[in-house]
Amino acid sequence: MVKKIMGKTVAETIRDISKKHIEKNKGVIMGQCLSAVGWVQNTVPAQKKGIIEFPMTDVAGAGFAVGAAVGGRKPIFILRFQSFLWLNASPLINNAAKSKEIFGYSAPVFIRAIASEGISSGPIHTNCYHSPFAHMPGLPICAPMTPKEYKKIWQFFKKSDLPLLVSEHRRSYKEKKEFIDDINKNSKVTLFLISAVRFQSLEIKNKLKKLGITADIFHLLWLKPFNIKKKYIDSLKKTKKAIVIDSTYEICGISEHIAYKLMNKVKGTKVINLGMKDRSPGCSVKFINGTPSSNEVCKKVSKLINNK
Amino acid sequence: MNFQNYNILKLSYNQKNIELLKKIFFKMSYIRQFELRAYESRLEKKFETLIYLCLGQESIYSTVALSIKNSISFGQHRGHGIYLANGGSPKKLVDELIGLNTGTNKGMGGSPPIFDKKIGMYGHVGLIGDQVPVAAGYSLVNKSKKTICYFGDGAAEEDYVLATFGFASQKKLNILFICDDNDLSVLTPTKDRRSWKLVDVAKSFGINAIDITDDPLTIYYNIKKIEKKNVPALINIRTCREYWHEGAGKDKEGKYFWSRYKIVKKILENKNQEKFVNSTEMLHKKWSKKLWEKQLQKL
Repeated sequence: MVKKIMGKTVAETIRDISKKHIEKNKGVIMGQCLSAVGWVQNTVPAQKKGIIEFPMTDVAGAGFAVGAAVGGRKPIFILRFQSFLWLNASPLINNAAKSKEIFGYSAPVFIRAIASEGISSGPIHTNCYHSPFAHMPGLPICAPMTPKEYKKIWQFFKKSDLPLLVSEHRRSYKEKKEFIDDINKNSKVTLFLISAVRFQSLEIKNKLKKLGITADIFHLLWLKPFNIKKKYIDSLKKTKKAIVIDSTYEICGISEHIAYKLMNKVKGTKVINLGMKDRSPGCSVKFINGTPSSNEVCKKVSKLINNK
Repeated sequence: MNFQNYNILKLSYNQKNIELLKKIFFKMSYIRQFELRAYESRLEKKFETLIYLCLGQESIYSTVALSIKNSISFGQHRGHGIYLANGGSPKKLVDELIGLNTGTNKGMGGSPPIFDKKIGMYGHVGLIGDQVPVAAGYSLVNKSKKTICYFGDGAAEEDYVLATFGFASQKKLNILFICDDNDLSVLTPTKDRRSWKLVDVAKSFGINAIDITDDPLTIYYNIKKIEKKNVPALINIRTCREYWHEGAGKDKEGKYFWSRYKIVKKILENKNQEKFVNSTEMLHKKWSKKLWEKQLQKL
C-alpha cells in the first residue's frame, strides 16, 4: 500500500540530513562533481562549507573517504552512479568494511551509491550493484526509497560505528510517499519488493487483482542483514509461494539469496526471485533491461501460481 | 647503479652527530635483534604465519621515529620497524606473528595489519599502497599532526598512489610520504617495471621530493628541513632488503648490495664507540631471545 504524505521529498530529506551533518557533527560530504549542475539531483546542499570535491580518481577517492572516516569525521561519500562502486570497491571493502575485524577500530563511511536506469543510462551505469557487496563481511546494506526510511537509516548510521552502503535510486528522489506492507487474508502469493520496483507496488497489486490474484506485498529496506520477520513467516505459511523482486540482476544476487533464506525458513514453500536479465542493458530501446515491469511481475506471479 | 652513497650528506662526525647516530643505532639494533630472532624461529618452523621482515631497512624507521615526534603513521606490510621504532609493544608483535589472541590484531593477519593507535600507528590490510589514499584522507581531516605514510617502490607504481600525490598537493596536506625503495617488487627489479623516477612524478604534482640513500644522518637532516613546512613531501629512500620478500630466507646479495646496519656500526666503532655498540647489541640479543622463547612457549 502507498501512503500519500505532504512532506519533503527523498532528495530534500537527504539534503537536510547532509546539511545538518555538516553543521552539527563537523561532518563532510565527499565525492566527484558534487557541485555540478543540480548538486547531485538536489541531494547535496548548495554550499562550499563541508563539501570536499575529489579529483576524478576512483579507487583513491574511496581511500580518501575511508581515511576521513578513520580520522573520525563520519563522511558521506557520494558515488553518482552505482557503476562507480566497481572502481571504488577495494578501499570500501578492505579498508572500511573489514577494518573493525582486522584492526578493532572502525571506518564509518556513509556510502551513497546512486542507481539510475533507462535508455539514457547505458550498459554500465544502469541500475544497482549492491549484490556483490553483500558477499563481504562488515558492510550493512540498505535500499531506502522514502523520506522516512532515509531518516531511519541515517539514525542507524549515526549510532553505529560501521560503514553503510546505501543503495539509492534516482527514481526515488522526487517522491514523498511512504510504503506500507499490504497483508490480506486471502492472498495467494507473497511479494518482497526491493529498490525501484517498489514504486510499482500499487500497479502490480491492481493488475494482479484483475487477474483474480490477491498478494501480500512487503517492502524491504534492509538487504544485509536481512532479518526474517514474523509477518513474513505468517504470510509464507499462508500463501506457500513467494517472489523476491529487485532492480538488479536476477542471478547470483541478493534477491536470490533472500529467496533461499525464506524458503529454508518456512519449509514447504516455493520462493523464487525476479530481476534484470543476465545480459547488459543498452541505450537503444531494443536493449532495455532494468527493473522488472509490473507486467513482467504479474506474468511471473501467474506462472508461479499456476505451476503446481 | 650503486645507491649506497646516493645524495648522501657529507657531514662531520662531531660530538652532536655521534650522539645522534648512537640513538639511531640503538633503535636499529633493537629492531634488528627482534627480526633476527623472528627469522630464526620461522626458519625452525616454530610458527608459520605470514611474515615480512624488515632486516636491512632498520635505519629508515629508526631515524624517522627520532626525527618526527607526535606524528601519525600509516605503514605497509613490512611494518615491524615502524611499529618497534615508535614504541609498539614487542610482546604483542611476537604474539601477532605467532597467531595468538593477545597479538596486535588478535592473531588475524601476521605482519601486514600490525598497529597500535596509542603510538599513532594505523595498520595495513595487505594490498600494497592502498594505505596511501587512506593516509591522505586521514591527513585531510587532521591537519594539525604530521601524517607519515610509508610504502615501497613497488606500491609506488599503483595508480591510486600516484593519484594521491595529486590530491595531497591540491589540498596542501601535512603529509610526509616515505618510499622504502629496496629496488625490488618481490624479486623483480625496478628497471624491469618502470622507466620513470618516483621523485620526478611527485615533483610534477607540485610535491617537494628528494631521493636519498638510507644513511641515518642524511635522512635525519633532510627530514628536519622538510618538517618545518607543513606541506606534502616525499622522501624516496634507497635501501637494501636483506631477507626474502615474505617468510624466512636470505636474498642473494646483488652486485650493489650494502648493509646500512654494518656501515653505521663500523662508523661508531671507528669513533671509539665500540663498547657502546657491543653492549647495545648484547642487550638486544639477550632481550629478544628471552622474549621470543617465552612467547613461543604459549603455542
